[in-house]
Amino acid sequence: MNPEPNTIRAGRILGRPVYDRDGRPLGNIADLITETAPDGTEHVASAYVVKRPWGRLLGYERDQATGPRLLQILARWILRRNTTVIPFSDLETN
Amino acid sequence: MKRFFAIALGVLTAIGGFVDIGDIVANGEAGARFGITHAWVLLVGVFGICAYAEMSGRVSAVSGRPVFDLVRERLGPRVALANLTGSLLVTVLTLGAELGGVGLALQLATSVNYLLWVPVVAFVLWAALWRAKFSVLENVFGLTGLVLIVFVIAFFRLHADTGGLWHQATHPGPPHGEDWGTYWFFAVALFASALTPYEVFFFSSGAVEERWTSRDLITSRVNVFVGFPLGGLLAFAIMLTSATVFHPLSTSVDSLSQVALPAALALGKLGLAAAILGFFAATFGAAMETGLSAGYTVAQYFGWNWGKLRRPREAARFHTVVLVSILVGVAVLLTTIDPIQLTEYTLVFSAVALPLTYLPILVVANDRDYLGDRVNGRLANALGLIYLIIVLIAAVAAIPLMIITRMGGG
Amino acid sequence: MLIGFDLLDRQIVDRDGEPVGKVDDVELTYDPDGTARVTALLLGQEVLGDRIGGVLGRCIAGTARRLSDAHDRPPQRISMDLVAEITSAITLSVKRELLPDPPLETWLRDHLIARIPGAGHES
Repeated sequence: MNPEPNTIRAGRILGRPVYDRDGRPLGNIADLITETAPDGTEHVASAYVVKRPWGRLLGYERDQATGPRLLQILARWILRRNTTVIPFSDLETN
Repeated sequence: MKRFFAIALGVLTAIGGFVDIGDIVANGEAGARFGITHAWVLLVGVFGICAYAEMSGRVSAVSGRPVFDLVRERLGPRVALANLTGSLLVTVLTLGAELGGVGLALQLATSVNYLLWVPVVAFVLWAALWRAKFSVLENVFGLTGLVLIVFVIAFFRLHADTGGLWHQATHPGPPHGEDWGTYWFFAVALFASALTPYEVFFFSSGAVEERWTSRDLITSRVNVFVGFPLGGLLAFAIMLTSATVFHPLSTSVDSLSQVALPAALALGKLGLAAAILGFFAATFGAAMETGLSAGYTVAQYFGWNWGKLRRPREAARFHTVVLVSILVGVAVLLTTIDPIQLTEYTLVFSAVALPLTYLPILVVANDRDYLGDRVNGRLANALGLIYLIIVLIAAVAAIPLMIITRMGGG
Repeated sequence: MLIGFDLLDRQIVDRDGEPVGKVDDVELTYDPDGTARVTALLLGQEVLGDRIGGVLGRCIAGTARRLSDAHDRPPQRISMDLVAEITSAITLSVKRELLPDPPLETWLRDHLIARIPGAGHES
């Protein structure tokens, strides 16, 4: 049985490299941010793009994670220098 | 009496962590070769495991989820799979060594070669994990393992040179005939044995098996703060008696019968019997702990049903992993590898797995989504961070030290 | 909500708290206007192996395929409308019995575990 033609697994998108219009690498997709639509479903709004090699973010990009101060400061410092948030509609798959 | 049974989980976990076959001999050997100059290592180890076991127990009690569940969530499936493979390897090899250890204890008692005991012990272990109630296993082996207290009693009967011993404890460093390389090798090995990953996985899974909730936080803490220091005390007592008897003679210790000798010297046949009983209970308890941990970690990585609290029909994959682990353990032993040598290798390799084990625990213990307002306070975080750095250092140093000192032989 | 953080690799439990499995991947469906909606959770060793990728992933996915009866059986899929709550675990609004059994569990239960006496008693 083939999957529906207009479905895709999130695992296929996460980790993919992202390039800007001039072809320069911006990093890899580390996560996808969703928003709740009026009908209750979640749709993908934007993507966290993080420069390699930092993949998994351990949760420090959220506001709620408090964590031990040292780890939190370390994680936020790494993320601030290396993360961009790109609206999902701006991404074209190739 | 009922109060005692409430801390059985902590006591059993600690026994499997501090006085399994590898630790019994390592503490004996350290005492013989280095006196009690490694006493501080046991102290540091006890604090470390208490800090992390408290966090693990709290996370499991409040969220209802065991700690290995979180490793995959926080580190991602690839890194968690590496962690799983590494810790499974160590756990299963340790299981094999513990089966050998039970065999050696029975050999001490009956003079029947340990290899002949191994299949019998393996079958009894499997049957116990299949049918016996979790609480019965905890209580029987936790309580009986405490018989190792005989080593504390033996110490007081041995007329030790307490001044000399105190000097050793307060002046860490290699004595005559040893060098800093072997000293640090033993330090890393003893430290790694105090914090082996399967202890926290077993403790937190046990918390879920016991169905602890937020109302059981005090029980969890009592388990940790009574159980693990008790385990550390038993390990220290073995080191101490060995230092008292063997160190002045410059003999080294490499077999279970030698470790038991101080108890026999001080208390005669009764002391020897108690020591053997204690070794049996401790190694069997450790075999249970490692057998169940193997099942717990694989099942929790893949999200399967697990646990003794479920009917085996409903946790088929979990029970299969436990069965296969026991069979692999037996197979490894039947290659006639020395069980004690085997644990010493696995100890070194488990030191390498420590940072990836403890990092996610520290992170989740701070997560309000999981714990609400029971997240770590300043003390827990400070200890957590300090020990994370220490285990990182131990992980990096373990293999080079092993190579340079040729497994502590020097 | 973050798909990677809040959904992927989380434990799924049914409405009684019994484990169902882990979120091994998430299904996204494209609307005609190009928005991607989260439509289902995907479970199974094949799915996990595909996501891990590389040689290791292919091993995991491969053994799973060999053990299942149908070679092109679709992965276990839980639609998002069965999801009641997303907290430290993902709680469904239905009981586990209503979902299909994982193939490995069934195979082991039938061929090994159920044949050993005492398999029906918890302890």
